[in-house]
Amino acid sequence: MGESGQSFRDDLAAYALGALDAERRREVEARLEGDPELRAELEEMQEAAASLALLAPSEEPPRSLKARLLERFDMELRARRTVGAPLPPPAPSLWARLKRRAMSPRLAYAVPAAVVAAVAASAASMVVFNAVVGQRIDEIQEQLTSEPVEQEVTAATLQETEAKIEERTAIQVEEVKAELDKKTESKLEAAQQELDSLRRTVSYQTKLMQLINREGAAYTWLAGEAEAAEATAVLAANRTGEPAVLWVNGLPQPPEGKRYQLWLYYQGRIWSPGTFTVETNGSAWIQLYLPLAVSNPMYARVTVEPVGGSSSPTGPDVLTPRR
Amino acid sequence: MRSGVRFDARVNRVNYETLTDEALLALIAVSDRQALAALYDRYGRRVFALAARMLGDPQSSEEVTQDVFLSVWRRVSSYKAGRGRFTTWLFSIAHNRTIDELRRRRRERYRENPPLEDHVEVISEAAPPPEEVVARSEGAMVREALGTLPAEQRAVIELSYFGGLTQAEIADRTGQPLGTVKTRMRLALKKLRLALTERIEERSG
Repeated sequence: MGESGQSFRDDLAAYALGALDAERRREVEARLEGDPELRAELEEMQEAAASLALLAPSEEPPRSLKARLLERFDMELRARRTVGAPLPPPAPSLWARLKRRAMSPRLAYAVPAAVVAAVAASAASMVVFNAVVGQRIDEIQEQLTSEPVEQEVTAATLQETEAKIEERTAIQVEEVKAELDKKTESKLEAAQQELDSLRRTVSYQTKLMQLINREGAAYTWLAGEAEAAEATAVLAANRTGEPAVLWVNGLPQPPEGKRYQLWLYYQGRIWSPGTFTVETNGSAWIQLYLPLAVSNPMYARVTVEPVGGSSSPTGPDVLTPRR
Repeated sequence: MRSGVRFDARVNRVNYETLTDEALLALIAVSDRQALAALYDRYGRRVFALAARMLGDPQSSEEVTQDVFLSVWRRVSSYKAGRGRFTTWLFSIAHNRTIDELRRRRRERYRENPPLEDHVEVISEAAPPPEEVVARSEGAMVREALGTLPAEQRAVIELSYFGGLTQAEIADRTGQPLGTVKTRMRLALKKLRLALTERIEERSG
């Protein structure tokens, strides 16, 4: 409160650049509330800051993104209308979105084969089930008409039986549906995970190509050693100010209490950006802001080090430059 | 009956592409799906490009882009027409959302494996422009305006706006006092604004 106007104005610039932590951001917002003059000043700064967005290298989003956005819009809108709530609920679960997509035939192309198979299996079981019930109804009808009983009684019984069968069928159909739904759900989820991982791989590949296609780009391929023989990695950097990237694939989890550490050799010196781990599928995509001197390292390697990292390599090599 | 349907269709057809941003927003305020789609067509690429530049990861950039456009719809009532340009508002939402994602990710990685961020050093030299930016006239103008700033002011802008670092983190990494970083930010934005205004006036006059 008692802080000087100048210090506060300095924070307005940081606010516009997004450089305040959450707590300070809220403080600034509270103070702006009752001060139109400060707000006008902030708006000027925000305008300048927003122009920086135009400096981002143009990048084409996938074409499916618009459809996915509108799908989320539709779901929130529907939820708003049914609940009559003024605010939309949180984003729908992945499962809900996925299910909608899988059930809609015109979007079938977007669904992986395993998902299609799972849905088809559920549909096929329903057909078989309906056929069995239908046959049973036919049998009872035949039985009733062939027996020598009075006409009215037969008609009434038939009607009653049909009603009962209908009721039972409905219950059973629901049960079977629920069971199949559960099975389908897990299959769909697995398939979606696979699809996501593939999609990520493709986007990383694209990103990597963009990075190394620019002038002044440098990259090093690394290959696995010993137990990590299957592992591969690429370290790529260019001089456009974009962060360098270390992309690792097929590396097992580090041993208990250990981490992987990246080492870069340049001009007779060694430097490490730090340690990392890999995801359960053995991959890692790590962005690094390298000091300019290191942006084209002579040599790179990855070793196993204790949590917290070492100041020089001590553990065994897991990735070294490909020969 | 058929001719009636045709007539309605013709009367109600709106060419969303030709509407102004403000008109689209007015329609989005009443949950017009096509208006949101048209706004996405107009700005989706830029929002995505900004997120991709900051996050370096197309996957999360897609999530962020979706969130930004849904936020526009949810928060459209808080947009005051005539007070600042729409794109300023949109890019602020996009920038804040991306920064949140960036910081969330850093916190997570920090828990996972602390030293990575700690060792990061600062590129003090401002980065030269990527080719495709220069090709776009608006981007070129901003690039030019940014070029009039001293290197240390460009550096704080790069680290905060694109790197998502807070002023305290920048002070930490560049070894400059916090007060200096704050002042640089203010001077940098002031100068950038001035240089942009000059260029806009030059162009229109």
